[in-house]
Amino acid sequence: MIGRILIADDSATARMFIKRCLEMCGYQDAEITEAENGLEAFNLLKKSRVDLVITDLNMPEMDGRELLQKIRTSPRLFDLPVLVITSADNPALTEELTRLGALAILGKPISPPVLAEALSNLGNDDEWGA
Amino acid sequence: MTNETLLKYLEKAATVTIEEMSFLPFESITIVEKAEDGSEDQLWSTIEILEPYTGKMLLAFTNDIAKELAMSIYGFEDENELTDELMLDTISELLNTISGRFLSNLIPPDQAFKLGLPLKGTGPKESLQDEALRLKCTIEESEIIVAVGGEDFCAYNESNV
Repeated sequence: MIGRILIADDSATARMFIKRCLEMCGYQDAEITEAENGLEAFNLLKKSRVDLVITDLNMPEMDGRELLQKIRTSPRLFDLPVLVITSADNPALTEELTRLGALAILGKPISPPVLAEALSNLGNDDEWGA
Repeated sequence: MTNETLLKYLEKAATVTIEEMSFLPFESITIVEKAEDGSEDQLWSTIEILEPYTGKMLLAFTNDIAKELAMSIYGFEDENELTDELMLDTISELLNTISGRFLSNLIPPDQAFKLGLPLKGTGPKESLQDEALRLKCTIEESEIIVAVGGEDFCAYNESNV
């Protein structure tokens, strides 16, 4: 069960969109924390437990790529599932981010069915510690 | 003359994004040959295209349609819930998505592209430097401007017309 979700995006509109999609996917009871960039997200991850990170790619301070790399190299966070949402979605980028350890890469604007499909990969997988 | 590919992808990126996010359909889209002076009550956002082409995109709304779009996107019923900052953020996010869609179609799938961070502001925004293509779109009789500029896009626009 995914109970705590961290959303990192510098746009309030994008964060609202993601939260609305999560509610429509059945995550209305999830505890959602928001960050405006990768650095703020990583600092939050250092001090609180989260089950899933949903991050934008293009952000000030620290982008989603660096956030993903920091999570994957952290002894405590390395197996945390990370979904990347980006407007620069294309096969070359998907390949690169998958190699870096992203669970899925979704194009903006996301829709509930697309998010639900990406999250369905988490449900039955104990590896992610959900 | 306008390059048909550039026109098709810009038009599609703008219509699909705005309709998907706000559920407000475009009534018409026309090519504008020359930038007009921006209105004082305009809200705008620009974004730099960094790779593999270099250029810039612009999205500009008049205050009334920006308010309507943001209200629709946020699902607000009361205008007082909406702040100027949220309206500008909505425009930036729309442009971010439009530019990503536009480049995804224009650039071969095995090639990544890179965008800068959107800038936003209010007041007149006349044109981009080296503007290649400018579309005037209407929603509920209000105008929206979407434009792409930069040397690379001007060269693209002049090729294979």
